[in-house]
Amino acid sequence: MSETVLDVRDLHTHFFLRRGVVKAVDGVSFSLRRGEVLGLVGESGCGKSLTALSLMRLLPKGGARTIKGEVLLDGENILERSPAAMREIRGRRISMVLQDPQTSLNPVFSIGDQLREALLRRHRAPRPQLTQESVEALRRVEIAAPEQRLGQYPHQMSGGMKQRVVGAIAIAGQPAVLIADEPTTALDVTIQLQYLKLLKRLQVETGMAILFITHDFGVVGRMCDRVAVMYAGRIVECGPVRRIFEAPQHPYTRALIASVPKMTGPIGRLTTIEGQPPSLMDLPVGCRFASRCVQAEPRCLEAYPRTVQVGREHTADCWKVVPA
Amino acid sequence: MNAPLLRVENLRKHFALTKGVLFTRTLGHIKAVDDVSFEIRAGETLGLVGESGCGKTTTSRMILNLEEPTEGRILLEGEPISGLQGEALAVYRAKVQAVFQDPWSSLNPRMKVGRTIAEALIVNRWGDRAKIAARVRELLLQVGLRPEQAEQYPHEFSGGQRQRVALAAALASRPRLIVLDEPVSALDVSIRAQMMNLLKDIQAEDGVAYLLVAHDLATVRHMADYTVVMYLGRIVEQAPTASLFAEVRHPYTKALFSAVLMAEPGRQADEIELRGEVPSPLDPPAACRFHTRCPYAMPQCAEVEPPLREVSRGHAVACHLFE
Repeated sequence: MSETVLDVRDLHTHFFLRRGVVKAVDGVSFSLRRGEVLGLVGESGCGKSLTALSLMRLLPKGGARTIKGEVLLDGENILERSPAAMREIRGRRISMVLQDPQTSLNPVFSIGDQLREALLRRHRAPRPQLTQESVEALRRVEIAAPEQRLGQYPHQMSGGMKQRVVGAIAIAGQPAVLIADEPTTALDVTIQLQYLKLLKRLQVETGMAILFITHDFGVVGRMCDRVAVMYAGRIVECGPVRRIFEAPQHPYTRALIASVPKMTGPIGRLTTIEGQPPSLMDLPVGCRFASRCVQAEPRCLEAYPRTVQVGREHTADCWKVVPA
Repeated sequence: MNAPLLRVENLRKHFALTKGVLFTRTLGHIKAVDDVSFEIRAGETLGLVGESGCGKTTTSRMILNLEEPTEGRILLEGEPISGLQGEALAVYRAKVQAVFQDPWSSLNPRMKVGRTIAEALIVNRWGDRAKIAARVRELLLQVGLRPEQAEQYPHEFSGGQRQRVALAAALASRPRLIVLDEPVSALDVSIRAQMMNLLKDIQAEDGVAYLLVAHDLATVRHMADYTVVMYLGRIVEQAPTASLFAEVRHPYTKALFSAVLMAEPGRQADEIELRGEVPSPLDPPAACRFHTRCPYAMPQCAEVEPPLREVSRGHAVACHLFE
């Protein structure tokens, strides 16, 4: 069961701009096991979305390049595959759901057309069969009256329903890995809960692994088995969800969890993290969190800390943590 | 108890849905806000929660005098605000300010932020140049920025700092009430906490009241003294925040609470998952608007509209289960 399906090693994706190099993803390593949900959490600009796009090899135009590292999908480094081979991989072996369903669906094609197109990538089949499979795909994502929905267009559906359709398209090719980049951020809370439950059920049924990108620790607690916390282009802590919530080791993770307003317990002043993340164009040589860290000492500014094993499957990049 | 700063009485807002340009036909009315009443006391925070389309933004827009109510009235310090014009309207706008979710929308990208903050003071001929400059410095310090940042443009600030600038601009005219429409939901977690602390500090210093429009219950719990829960244009439950969080009554509020994903794994309480989606406000369900999705619905829920009834001190619920 602990078979690794996706192994990311020392990934570097930088933006090469006229005014300098933005090191948005700068040495990211993690692995994803078959049937596991790994959360990738962090604040805006920490590089979590760009990590996802690097895995899909769908980097934004304008100077972004993956310059170093390996992305091993079932042991094969997909960074070395040709663009044509990559098109075969996307959708069938690794797939993605984005935050805003509106941008993933084409407004001028019906839901049925878009589903049939996705299914055609899995296998060549006559149209009636594809239509039948589209109905099934919609039923799996719990859309009522799927036969009627096939003829409809995206604007005729609510946000929650569109996101389900996007999900249906993403998993149509039966990928081994699904990357979900903030898929519920645009949804209302009750609809978010429905969607997360659905995603979890589909994951259990299909055994696909999910890389779940979010900034919301509530979503992490609900969905993930393990979580990786990103800060300024690197993963600073990674471990089982329970451990990260109950005994976070990295000062950044600790401060981040403490600053979330809670639904229970005393209402006092919220813990804050003073200052701002470092510029990705001018990263410090030492720990990237040092300038905001209440526990920082001279060596934190001098060199980037090594990755310390702080518990079972639990690592943190910090000079101050105690090895297990 | 002090007299309310703002009273909202039986407020309704119906938008006509029309078709055609020349020969316009009315297809129906969207009852965005339907019989909503509440009070905000000076120096207190009222949280207005609900999902998209519940009418919370329309309610706040009517309070900001950006939208004319179809029925009902709004009183600030006992004076109705409808029909305010000229000088009286300017006075009202100085007393009731707003901060929106996206600070970009409130800041002019070509204007130095000092000038944006001073705008309200200049328009109201608040004082001479030196006096206004001094007030801008004071405001920047109050929101945790440096006075010399008055000379910078919005793009030179981070998202959290821009929201601070928007807050400084709102505070300039010393308002009695600030409508905060999702003030922290666009901000990062660590910055969000800074902003929430700042808002509470300013309230403690200046005694300004807040109408906090938000969807995040934990934010409301930390900020609001009183909470109003809306569903499809109606208030379904309202209570002092402490009382609401101690005991949630209305099935919809319960569903909202159980949809909150706790940042504590394994702490998920008894869950009510709502089936389906919010019905169209164009054709809302008759009687109790929640009965189509309510797990406790009874026959009478589809027939008789449940009135908002007080179940304990200050805690009112619109549900037949509490009769």
